[in-house]
Amino acid sequence: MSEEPRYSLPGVETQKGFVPAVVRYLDSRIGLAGFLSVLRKKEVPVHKHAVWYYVGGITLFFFVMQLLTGFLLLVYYQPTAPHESVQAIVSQVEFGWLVRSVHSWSANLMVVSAFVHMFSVFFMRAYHGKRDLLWYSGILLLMLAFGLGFTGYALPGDEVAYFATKVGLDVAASTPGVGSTIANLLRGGEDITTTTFQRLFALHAAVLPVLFMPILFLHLWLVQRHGNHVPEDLKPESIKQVPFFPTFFLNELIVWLLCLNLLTVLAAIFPWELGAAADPLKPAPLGIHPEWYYMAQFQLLKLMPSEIGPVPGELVGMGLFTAAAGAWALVPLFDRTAKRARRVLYGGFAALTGLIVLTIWGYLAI
Amino acid sequence: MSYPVWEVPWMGSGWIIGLIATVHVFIAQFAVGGGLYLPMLERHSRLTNDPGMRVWLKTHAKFFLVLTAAVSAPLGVGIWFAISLVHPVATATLIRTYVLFWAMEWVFFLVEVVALVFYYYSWDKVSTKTHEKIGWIYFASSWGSLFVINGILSSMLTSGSLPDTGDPWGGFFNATFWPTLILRTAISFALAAIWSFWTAAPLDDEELQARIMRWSARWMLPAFLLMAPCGYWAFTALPQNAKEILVGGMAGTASGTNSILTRVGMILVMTTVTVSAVVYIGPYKNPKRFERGLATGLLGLAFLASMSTEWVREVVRKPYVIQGVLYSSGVRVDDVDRQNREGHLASTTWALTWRDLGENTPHRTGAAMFRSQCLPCHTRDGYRAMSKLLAGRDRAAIRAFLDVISETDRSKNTYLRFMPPLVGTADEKDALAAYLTTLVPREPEH
Repeated sequence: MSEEPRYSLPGVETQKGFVPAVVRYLDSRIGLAGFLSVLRKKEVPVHKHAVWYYVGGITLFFFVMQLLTGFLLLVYYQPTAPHESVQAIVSQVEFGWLVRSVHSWSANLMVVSAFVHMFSVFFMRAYHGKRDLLWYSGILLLMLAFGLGFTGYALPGDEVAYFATKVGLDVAASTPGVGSTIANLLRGGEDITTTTFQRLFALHAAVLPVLFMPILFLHLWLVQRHGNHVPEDLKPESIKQVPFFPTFFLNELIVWLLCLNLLTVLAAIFPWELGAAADPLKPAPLGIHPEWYYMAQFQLLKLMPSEIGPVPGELVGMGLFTAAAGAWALVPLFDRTAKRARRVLYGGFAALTGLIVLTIWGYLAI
Repeated sequence: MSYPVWEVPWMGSGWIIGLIATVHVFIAQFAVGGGLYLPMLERHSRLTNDPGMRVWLKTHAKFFLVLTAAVSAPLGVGIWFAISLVHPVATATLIRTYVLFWAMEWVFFLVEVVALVFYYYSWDKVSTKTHEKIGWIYFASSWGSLFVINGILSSMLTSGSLPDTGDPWGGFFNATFWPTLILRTAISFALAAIWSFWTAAPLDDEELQARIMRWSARWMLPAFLLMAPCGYWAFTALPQNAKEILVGGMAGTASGTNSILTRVGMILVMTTVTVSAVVYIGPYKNPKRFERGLATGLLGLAFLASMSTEWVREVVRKPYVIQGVLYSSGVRVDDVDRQNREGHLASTTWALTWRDLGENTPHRTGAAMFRSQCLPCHTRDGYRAMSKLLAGRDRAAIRAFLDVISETDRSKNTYLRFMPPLVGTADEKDALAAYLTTLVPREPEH
């Protein structure tokens, strides 16, 4: 029986120099060799749909950018003076405008790539069998990303942010039962005040990230455990295996570099604007609307009549969307036979089409 | 100016030139660098006895022929159409000044096209050494073409002794001629390799793909080493005004964001550095698995770098189209005083006779002034929109602003760094102020 090399970097045990010394040090403390060995053994399938494997990594990249720029914004942002502090960030802090712009753009790009990742996983049936926990953790991460988006959108305290947040919280308050309690808890009362910004800031910068991180690590660990899913309809001879490290890793690195450039170009050429400070006594400006990823829900609510029978139309709309989102999240429970798989596929197409149509409709109706 | 004014709503006429020219330059520089790449790699395959590489090279040469001759060359013609519509005075001036140089360029181009056709269609029909010589002829003529065009283009930015003496040679061999020539040559070599990654990426033979990728990645090294010093050399040779507006944005503007020129300059540096990083990580370190999608991304990045370079070059030239000779508004530098005395519209017949200017005389005069002197760089509601730039100003404020930008003394008019002086009589400026007031959006009523 051949003995496994102790180190993933051949000869590192006897090599002199700084890097081998660091590798030996880390191996003796944290078992680095084992980790490197896992990386060396891990393989990624290559086939005609393999391009979708990059999208999860892209989402992760944009999240990392969120963290890095978020740390920098944290230094200057003040929830007690939201608009003034953001104004100072973009006009007085050196490159503050760029950091804020990168933060906002990467948030939006992260949601875009998360959506693409989710639908690619769905249409390749990568949620099937033992991968169901990957799907559930992914859905949880998306929900938390939505929460981060909603709380972050409010923080600049400008006119659009203020009134969009007000509308969002009013909608939440109309939920029967706990709705008004949750809305009041978030607002810190009946109205949006400085307390609201403090609470949303606490959620955005502390509570939601603390919830996000362990689920993210679980998600990544599950990917590592189960490997990349190969669509069932592919012939085995059309699939090649390449090592994750360095082959796939280097390609992923290139994709990240391309994403970094895309992000920088967007942030530099189209800096995120800051509107006038919100004035609660003023009427809401015309065309107030939420971020694009809430637009489908927003439009659905607008389409609802004021009442459907004895039930308020808004409530029916919220119920419909919640039911659809719930069914979507629980799809691994339903998709257990070939016949059901086809139905799920059609349902997925319908959901995607519905989201796109409602979103476009929402923007056209502003 | 006695040419018709071409109004392009929303995007502005300048972008028509910009879009055509950027694509043309991106491919045309590949045509120059590829001209050396083809015979060099052919020679390498002969010396290393690598027939597989030569087979791929023929496919690459076909792609090269189609892209450079069938796509890029018509775009070059498109640039002539576009500049003659957007900047007819500048086009006429460049033709008259450099007529001999255009003739040289035309000869180079003709030889280039003929040599390229011979190069591809004589494949395997003449000896490999003869074939390589045809490739060398192609490269020499394509680089000659770049030599001439670069002299004319760079003279628009740093015109040397042209404004004083009218001597075309004094304008051609100007301060930025050599650094930009070497820089463009280096860029063209880099593009030759970047396009080759794209055509080699889907090869079935992984070993062959790896050999081509590695050789091409090494080929890029001198280009990368030359780019930074040549870029700096070109920067130091720029007029003081251009240097100021290029680095001035770093100090920050009122809005807190660095000036758009500086931001694009940052993008240029970032994309160029990223291209080199991607080439090292991908084609050099991981040549067997550098896929078509990644190669396309790399091409996109290189295009962005090229586009940023050309955009920066265009903008640092402001307020001139040809430095010291012609302002970007189409007014000759030596004609400013006369037009201030006699009226700008006395020289702009076509701006006045535009069919939809209306009957009202002051409005008609103001609209004609706007078309003639503002539209070359601005639009009403789109790119560099007047409605946005003048927002919040009433007629009196706009009139006062027009007086400021009419000054030809830089200490009184800081806009002269990037905006030509407004020329015309007081009546014409009154009419322009009245017209501009109609473009300013009114405050919405609640």
